[in-house]
Amino acid sequence: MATEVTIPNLGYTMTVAKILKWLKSVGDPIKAGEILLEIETDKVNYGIESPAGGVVRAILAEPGEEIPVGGRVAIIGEEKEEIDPRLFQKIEKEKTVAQAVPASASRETGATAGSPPPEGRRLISPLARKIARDKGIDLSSVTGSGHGGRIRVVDVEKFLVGKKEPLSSAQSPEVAEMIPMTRMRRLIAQRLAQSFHDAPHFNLCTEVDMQEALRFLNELPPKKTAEGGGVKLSLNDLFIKVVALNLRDVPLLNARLKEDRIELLKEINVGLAVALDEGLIVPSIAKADQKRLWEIARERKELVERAREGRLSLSEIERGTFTVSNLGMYDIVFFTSILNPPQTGILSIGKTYDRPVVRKGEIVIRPIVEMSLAIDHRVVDGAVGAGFLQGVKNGLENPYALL
Amino acid sequence: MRELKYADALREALAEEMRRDERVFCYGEDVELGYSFTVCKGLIDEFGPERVKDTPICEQTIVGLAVGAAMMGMRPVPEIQFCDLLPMCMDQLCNSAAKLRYMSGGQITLPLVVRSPGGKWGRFAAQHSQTLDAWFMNVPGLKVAVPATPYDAKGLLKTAIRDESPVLFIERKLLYQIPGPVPEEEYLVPFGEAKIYGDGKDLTIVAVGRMVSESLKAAERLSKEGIQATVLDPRTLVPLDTQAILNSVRQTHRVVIVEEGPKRGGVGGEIAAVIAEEILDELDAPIRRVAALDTPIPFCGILEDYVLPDELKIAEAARNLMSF
Repeated sequence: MATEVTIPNLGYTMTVAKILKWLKSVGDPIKAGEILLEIETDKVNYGIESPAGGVVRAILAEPGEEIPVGGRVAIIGEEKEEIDPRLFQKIEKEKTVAQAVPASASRETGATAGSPPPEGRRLISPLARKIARDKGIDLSSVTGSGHGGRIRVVDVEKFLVGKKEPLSSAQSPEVAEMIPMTRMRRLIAQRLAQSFHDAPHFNLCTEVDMQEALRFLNELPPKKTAEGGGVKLSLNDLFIKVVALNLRDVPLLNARLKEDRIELLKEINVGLAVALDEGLIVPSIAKADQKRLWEIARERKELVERAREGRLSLSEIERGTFTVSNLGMYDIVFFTSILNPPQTGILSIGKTYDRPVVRKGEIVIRPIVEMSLAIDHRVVDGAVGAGFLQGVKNGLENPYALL
Repeated sequence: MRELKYADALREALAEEMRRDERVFCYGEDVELGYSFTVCKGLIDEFGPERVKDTPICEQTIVGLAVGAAMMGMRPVPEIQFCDLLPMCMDQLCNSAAKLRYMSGGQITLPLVVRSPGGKWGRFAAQHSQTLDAWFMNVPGLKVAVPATPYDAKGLLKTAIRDESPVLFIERKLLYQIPGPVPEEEYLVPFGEAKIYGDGKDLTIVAVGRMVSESLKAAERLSKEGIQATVLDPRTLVPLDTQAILNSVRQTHRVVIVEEGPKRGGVGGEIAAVIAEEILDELDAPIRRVAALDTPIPFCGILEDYVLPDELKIAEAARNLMSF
């Protein structure tokens, strides 16, 4: 019996997937569970397994095509099997059929024929839509400034003004190269712009004496047990563990804002920002507060490796409840971050470096790290954040308590 | 201009109309002494017990009597002490008063005005604090007036008394003691003509009854934040000045509708539907309703405030629309 291969839903924000490449061609035999093709979503690259064994009878989408979730991309069947020709129809054809239905329905209800095609899922105010129609503006080139990127009249007006007075090309620098934004870059742009716009951020800053923490790390040999997997503990593991333990005491920072309520989250999943060439990604360690340092180290190593290979699962990216961003490997002494929505807090950690500090009236040299905690002021006030940061500082300055 | 309280303006309207037309008379529970909201206080001194009369505590009788008297050519102005008691005389009001003129082919007219106060008085609990305007908007044959100021109270009541159709005249308890300018000379306020406050270009706030003053306070707050609101009071819900509402929304493209009654099935829903049906393409943001929560009005003051709309909630809704 013929089996359809469709685009799976890999997360609730996913609507389409781009076909990256086919690992099989038409006529190739394939086993159930064997990878048939690779797709790219907003967040991950993913290999789709064949749901059945047999022969690849049809491939219905080319690499580069974007196919909606649930869309049919291939047919698996027996070599000689007779297959209903309708199954070979490509997804676009289905779409045209689907569109024909509402059109005839609207004729029945007396709606004007030739009404403009649907604008997809973009949110557009009725008045903005009308003005755009009257002035012949293509709304796909207008950027929306309302909730969820909603296009309002002000956006259409801004667009019109921009049209009327184009920057004189003599003054503006010449473009050397155009880089189209990847899905990932677009997603980062959209989420962080929204976060920066919607969540009133503020930063609390402190410095931590890392003498004990460094000694602690140097004294511990790599753990060779199954638990540790031969991993060497890094500063990041300490940061993650200390942050997780302190989130237990300050649940408001392990929370998200939903309309008019604050949801405290059950699990403490600490994300670690990982820089890739394609953009920033934040895999997170689930229930980090309940894990031993070695487990955290092993998971962290694995997650970072898989992030570099583009092989993270959606849940590893979406489950984070708090983010740690460490630029200590660069010469960055201090920085602040934009919240990773819908999280309430993000801890930014600079480089650990030797610096003169005063201890008991004497100037001594100590390894110091400066960190800033950005928080969403809608959810948390300064004192709560300060208490959390104090706890993180105390934890790092007394690392042996973590064992 | 001289200032009169809302209750005093209503009394002046009653007295002027009773002087002008001897068929006008008023009656109800505790009307002779002018309890409980002082509107009829002292009328008995000028017009005597024949035209200013106490009745038993029986709302069916009060409105039933008005229907009979109006059919026989009188112009009764009965008072129902709280609008929460109007359900007691629903049949007399909605089946008799509202229908007989139509069903008799116009042979009978029913020039009667049922006055009754609605809304919050402050810790009067679930059976004496309701706002039932929306119920009566749904009754063809009834006109519904909801004055928000002493000026409108007087002018609308005089118009109501001269109208040949039954009018439900819903006052507001908390407004009775609020003063406002009322001219000495006679004037009428026509039905179906909204009053517009200000000419803010950013949004229209349509408000009814006591919510008009709350909306004006909200508009003042908003103007300090750079949001300019127009406040529109329809003054009568039936007939409703839909043209004024539509014209205003055509200017501002955003609208908040405020009422003291519960949101579900409310006046705001009706007005919102008219706007959406007629001028959807003029809207740059969704229509927002600010109304009471869909619960009985609590006795506890804190909870009562939580349930009912006020200037802060109106301002918040407006801000939300501006950024939507």
